[in-house]
Formats: sequence, structure tokens, C-alpha cells
Amino acid sequence: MLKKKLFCFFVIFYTITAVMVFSNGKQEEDKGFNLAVVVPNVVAGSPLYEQMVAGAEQAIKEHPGSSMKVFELGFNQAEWGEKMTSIVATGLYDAVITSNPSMPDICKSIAEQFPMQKFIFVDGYIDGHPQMASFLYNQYEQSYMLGHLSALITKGDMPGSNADLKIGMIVAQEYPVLNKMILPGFKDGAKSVDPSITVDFRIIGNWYDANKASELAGSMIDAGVDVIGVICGGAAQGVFEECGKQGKYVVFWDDVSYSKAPGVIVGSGALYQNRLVYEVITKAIENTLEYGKGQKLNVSDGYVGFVTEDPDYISTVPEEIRIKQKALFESIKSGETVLQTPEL
Amino acid sequence: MKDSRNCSTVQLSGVLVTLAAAAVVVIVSIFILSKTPFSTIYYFFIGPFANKYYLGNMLNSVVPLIFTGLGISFAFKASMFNLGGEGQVYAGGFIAASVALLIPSLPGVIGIFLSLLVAAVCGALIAGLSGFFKMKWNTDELITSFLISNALIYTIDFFITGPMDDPTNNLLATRKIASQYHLLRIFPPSSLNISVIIAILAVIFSFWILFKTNHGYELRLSGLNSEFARYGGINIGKYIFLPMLWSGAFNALAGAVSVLGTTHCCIKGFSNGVGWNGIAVALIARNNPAAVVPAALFFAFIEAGANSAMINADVTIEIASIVKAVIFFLITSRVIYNSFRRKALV
Repeated sequence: MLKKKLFCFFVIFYTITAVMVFSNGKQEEDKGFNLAVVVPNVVAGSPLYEQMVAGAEQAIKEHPGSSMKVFELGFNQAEWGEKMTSIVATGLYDAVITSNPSMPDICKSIAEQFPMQKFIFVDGYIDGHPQMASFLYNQYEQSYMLGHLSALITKGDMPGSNADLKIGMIVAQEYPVLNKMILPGFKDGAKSVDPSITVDFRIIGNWYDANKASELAGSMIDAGVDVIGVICGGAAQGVFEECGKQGKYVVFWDDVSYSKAPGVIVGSGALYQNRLVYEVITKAIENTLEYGKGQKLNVSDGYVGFVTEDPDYISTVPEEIRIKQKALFESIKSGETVLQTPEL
Repeated sequence: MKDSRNCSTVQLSGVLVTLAAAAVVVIVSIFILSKTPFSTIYYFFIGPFANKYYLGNMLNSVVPLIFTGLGISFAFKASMFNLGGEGQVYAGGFIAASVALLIPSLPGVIGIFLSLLVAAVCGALIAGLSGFFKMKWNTDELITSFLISNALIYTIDFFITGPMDDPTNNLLATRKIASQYHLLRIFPPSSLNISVIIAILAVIFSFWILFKTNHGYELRLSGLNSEFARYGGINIGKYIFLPMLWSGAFNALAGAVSVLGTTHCCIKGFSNGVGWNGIAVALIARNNPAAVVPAALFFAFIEAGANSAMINADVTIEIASIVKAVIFFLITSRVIYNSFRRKALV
């Protein structure tokens, strides 16, 4: 009896569902410009990805008939390639925009399989590929400014500064842009203030382990570090807490971050990804975007900056240091100071 | 004879009803989560067959599930519980990549064979350790296999993100293995490769071992009733240790073929639940190697369907996790199977 009832239920349920699905299911293909915004992570909590989505939304909104869809690839890097290929394989998208230094590597083999697909990378670099346009921020310049500020603080007389000429850097992992641009820029910026300053460099091994980040920060502070540069995603929270407890300081990359830990974050670089993505997508829709080229964006182009007008920055960092830091920023921006950016 | 057929029918009915109930859960979940439910259902169920790429990738993701399904089945057949599948898969992939990187210039066939062999041997030893502890000191293999697996995952993560990390790549991954060690792709542009043939051979081999050899007979008998087996002169200690060796070897092969066939390097976290899903596959298959293939296909279909729905409609990939959790619950709790058995007995 139970079997019969269940059997009847399944037959009726699936028949109704199948009829409804086949009569209403398949979506009509959109004829306008279709954009896939691919986030190799999740959007929430990541300022650069939030900026990318916002910039794309603005451009799409201004061009009636065009549309976009946001895809989150999740935290597992091993799945990014396959998920990206699945998105491209739909053949629905005129262009795919994504933001992460690893994505050009992942997309090279996908582009071979789908030669008509266009890719746009922001915060990633590839040059000379006819299906790809890339925009790499000059991380050397941003890191140089943050290294310069860290050195001024470690040499200065802020309450948390000590006599040791040591600054630190905690990163999630090593990658080419970090090894060739960010770390050298940070070191060179610090040494431009005092060549005897050393950088204590530590690696967490992932982008989320706040406990390990906190332990590393504690150990660096014990070794005499008083300013720590942080590039480790969600794990940065551990560094903020440890530095907050011990009265030490943090400098941060890519986004206006002072409010995340007021009094602890004493310097913040900024990438204006929102504006870049808006401009790039507008060009892509208007068919004026040049593919096959990798562009490097500098402080002088206005896409990379250092945030000097934030109230938390002004209230935490002494004026004498702020004046020197602003002078460096303005000098790089105006082209008076030209930094020799290493090749990737 | 009639009783055995009746039992098989009840088992099959129970599994089929469980799977049908899981599909109902998918549909109901989609109605709750999606603004365009009919479109989402369409892409969930039809999407995996929509083009060569999706179909090939779905079949490719069946391969590691077949290996882990076989691995877990071997242990379960002997009443041993290997909860370390995830770590063994990860170790298998890592070891295969390491071997391939250590010998970058051997001919492809030799390099592939060596990578698979060393991975399988290491996987066997890792799982065999739990069997050995159980045989020697009667420690609970369920706990030891799980703990060893977890420790292994962290150790391998250390190597991938530290000494073996590829600094020229932005991923948390080892260097790429030499191209002659890539398993041949047979259904481009998908990732489906000749590992599917290796998996089918493994199924045939497992079936032969379990049901056509004296070793398999003794293994199954030890699992069904160890006291009876001992009374019959079987060395039951041997059948605590050996099934774990088989289990670990198959699990490690799942990781090895994924690295040699799909990722071509060991990426942090690449195993992504394949070891755990192998338990569900083995349970659906009732530990029968022949039934592991359709069970793995079903699991891969759920994953591919969720992927397709995420890409073409408006649900997130988590829908696959919900469905898998429901299946796992229904199968392990045996709610439906038991109700069918009661009815059959009445």
C-alpha cells in the first residue's frame, strides 16, 4: 500500500513538474551586450570585488539593452578553472571580467578552447593575447608609499613605536606580483627613509586563518616589529586584534581601510577599481576596448593612491609624518619622483 | 534463493525511493530559493547534458568518485570503517604530483605508471596503518583513520603552500607536471580523459577480487561474521589489515588520476570532499563494485546539475550540498530502506 501511494505520488509530482519545466524552462537568449562578472571568491567582505561589481553595474545601467550576471567561484582555487570554463562554455557572454592575479593563468587554456570569448582582467596581467585585455595596478608604487610611511612611524615617536628599526609584513601566500612588486616596493620605500630598516616577512598559507595571523603578528611584535603591512584577506582581522592589544600599527593595501581598526591602521593604499571597471566595461560595450594588450596603471594615472584625507588617519598619525607622506605621494603623482618599477 | 532475490529487490526499491525523494528535495528547494524555478529546474536536470563540455566534465568527475566508492566498499565489506578517505585522496594526488615532478623527463607511460603506483602504495600504507593498529591493539579504526587523514591534510597543505609552492603561479599549488604525464583527453573541450578506462578496469578488478577469489570470499565472510570466519579457519587479523590497504590504495588513486588527468598540479584543497562523497557512493551502491558506477554517476550528476543551475539560473552551488546532505541522511539513517524491509517482512 505504501509502495503504491509513493509510486503514485512520484509519478504525479514528476509529470506535473516536467510539463511545467518544458513549457516554461529554457530562457530566451539576450540579444544585447552580455557581461559575466566572475568573482574568484565571494563578493561580500572583499572591497575590490565589491568595487568591480559596482563599476560593472554602473556601466551596464548606462547602456540599455546590455546585461550582466555575477558569478562567485568560491574559496577553493582548485575549482576556479572548471567553473570559469563552464561559464564560458554557455556561449552567452560577450565578455568576461574578473579580478585576481591568478586568473590570466587560469584563463589562458580556456581561451584556447573558446577562441571567440573575450576576457578582461583587472588586478591581473597578461600581454599580447588577442582575446584578453588586462589592467595591472602598479603595486610597486603603492607598496613603496606604504613602506615609506611604515619607516617614518618606526623611526618616529608615536606611542607604539620602539627603538628597533624593524617593520613587518604578513601575507596569505607568495605569488609573482607579491614577490616582484609588492615586497620589493615595501622594502625600497622603507629603505628610502633609513637604509638600516629591516623587514620581517611571514606567510600564513591561506586567506582566512585569523588565529595564525594573530600568532604571527604576536611573534613579530616580540621580535621588535612595530608596524606590520598586511595582505591576507579575512585573516587580517587577527593582525588588527593583536596589534590593537599590543598598541602596534598596521598598514593596509588596496582599499580605504582606516575604519576597520581605527587607531591601529595608520596607512592605507587605495586602488580605484570601481572607476577602472566602469570605464573598461563602457569601452567594451561601445566596442572600443583594445584586446591583446596588458596595461600598467600608475599613481600618476589616478587608479592607484594613498588615502591622506581620512579622519582616522589624521587623528592617529602625527602631522610631521603626514606632511612627509603627502609630499611623497604628490611627488609620485606629479611625476617628479619616478620609481623604477620592476618587470613582472 | 527466493529470499535473497526478495532482499535485493527491497534494497533496490529502498535506494530508488531514496533517490526519488532526493530529487523531490531538489525541486522543492529550487522553488524556495529561485525566482525563476522552472528555468532553474530545467538547467539542473537538463543542463549537464546540454553540450559536450558539460557532459564530458560530468563524466570526468565520476572517475574519482568511482575510486573512492570502491575504496570505501572494500573496507565496508570487511566491516571496517575508513573515515580517512579525504586525506588519502589528497595524499594520493600530492604524491602523484611529487613523483611526476621528481622524474620530469621519463617517457609518459612509465612516469604515469610510476606516479599511480607510488600514490596507490602510499595510500595503502596510510589507511593500512589504521588497520594495523586495530589488528595489533584493537584501536578504533574509525577514529584513527579520521585523525591520520586530518593530520595529513594539514601536512600536505604545508608543503603545497611552502616548500613546494610554485612561485611563478598565483595559485596555491605545486609546479605543473611535465606534459607527457598528462592523461590523454578523449572528449575535448571537456576534461574527460583516459582515467575513465582505468576506473572501469578498477571496477572489474574489484568485482573479480571480491566475488571470484578465495581472498574476496574470506574478506566478505570476515565482514559478515568474524567469529564464524575464525571458526572456519580464516585468519581474521589479516582481514582487518588487508581491506584497509585496498581501501587506501583506491582512495589514493582517486587523487592521483585527478592530478594527472585534470589539474596537472596539486592545488591546495583539490580533493574537495571526494573522499567523503565516496562513503555516500558506497552506501548507495550497498558496497557492490558494479553498483558503484551508477551511484557515482548519480552523485556527479547532482554536482553538475547544481553547477549548471548556478551558471544559467539564479541559485548558488550550495544547492548541491543540500541535496547531497539529504541523500546522505536518508541513506545512512536507512529510514526508507527499513520501512520497506518492515513491509516486506509483514
